[in-house]
Amino acid sequence: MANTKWTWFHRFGSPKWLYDFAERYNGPLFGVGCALMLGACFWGLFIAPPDYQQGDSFRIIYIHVPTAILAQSCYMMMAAAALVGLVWRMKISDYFIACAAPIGAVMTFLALFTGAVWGKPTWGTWWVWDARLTSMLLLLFLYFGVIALRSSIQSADNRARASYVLVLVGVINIPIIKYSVDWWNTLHQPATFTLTEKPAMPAEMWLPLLIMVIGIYCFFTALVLVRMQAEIVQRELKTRWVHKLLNIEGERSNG
Amino acid sequence: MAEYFEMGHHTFYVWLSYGVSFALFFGLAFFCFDGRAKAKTTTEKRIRRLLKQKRASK
Repeated sequence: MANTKWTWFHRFGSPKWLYDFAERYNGPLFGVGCALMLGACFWGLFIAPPDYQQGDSFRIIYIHVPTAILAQSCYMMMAAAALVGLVWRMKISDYFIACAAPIGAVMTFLALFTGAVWGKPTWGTWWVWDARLTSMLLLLFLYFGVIALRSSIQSADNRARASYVLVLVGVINIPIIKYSVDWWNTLHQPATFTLTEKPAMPAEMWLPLLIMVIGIYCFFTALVLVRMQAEIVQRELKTRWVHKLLNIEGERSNG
Repeated sequence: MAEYFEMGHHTFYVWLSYGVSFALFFGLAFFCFDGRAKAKTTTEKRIRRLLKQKRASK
């Protein structure tokens, strides 16, 4: 019973299974993600009413909030992968961290950039050393740190272990980002979306935001799967199934 | 129609955010798909080279 319960989880440990899974789902996920993102942006830019205080500058929310949510949850996923990698020694965890970190860094940069651009007309400044902004900047440096650390270590095992430790140490920054607006007196507004409360804005404003969040998650998943396929092919080059995939099975058996 | 694109007095800020974001989304997607294609090609070449070396050593 316990075996069948965990079969789905163990499957993720197989590079071949994950490659086939990615092959099957990355196309549809990418298509759905792009369609949702374009639709949500069109709705947010041209159909949603302007904010009564901020006017049209509030429309930056449809990029800023989804990228900020994804930047943090990508790091949380990397931390979960690091834990799995340390406890169960699944090499897929290492592949995931290698593939997700650059995408997470881009999302964090976009959250900071759009936040700065939104801050100028709203607060009158591009940047303040506010707790939320500073902790988000720290998240960007953590992503850079993971990428730099991985490229500086040659041995695959040492590289994986070092990045697991760095990712797990850095995860302390996530609750700091989340609660910075409650713990300190910040210029940044509190969370737009919470799981327990109804959004304060009308449905025609928050629905495109929700669609954009779903779309950006699909887009992210598709891109991580594509990058993982590349990582798997490069790291599993000695396996028979990769040879078959690259049409060099015949030569292998001849040799 | 033009007033839709003007975004009140915030044309620069709104379109700068969307422009940079979509340019990066596009770049990221291109980098990922192109990276996969390149990874397959380089791995294929690497395997063929390894097999050639193996055959030569035999």
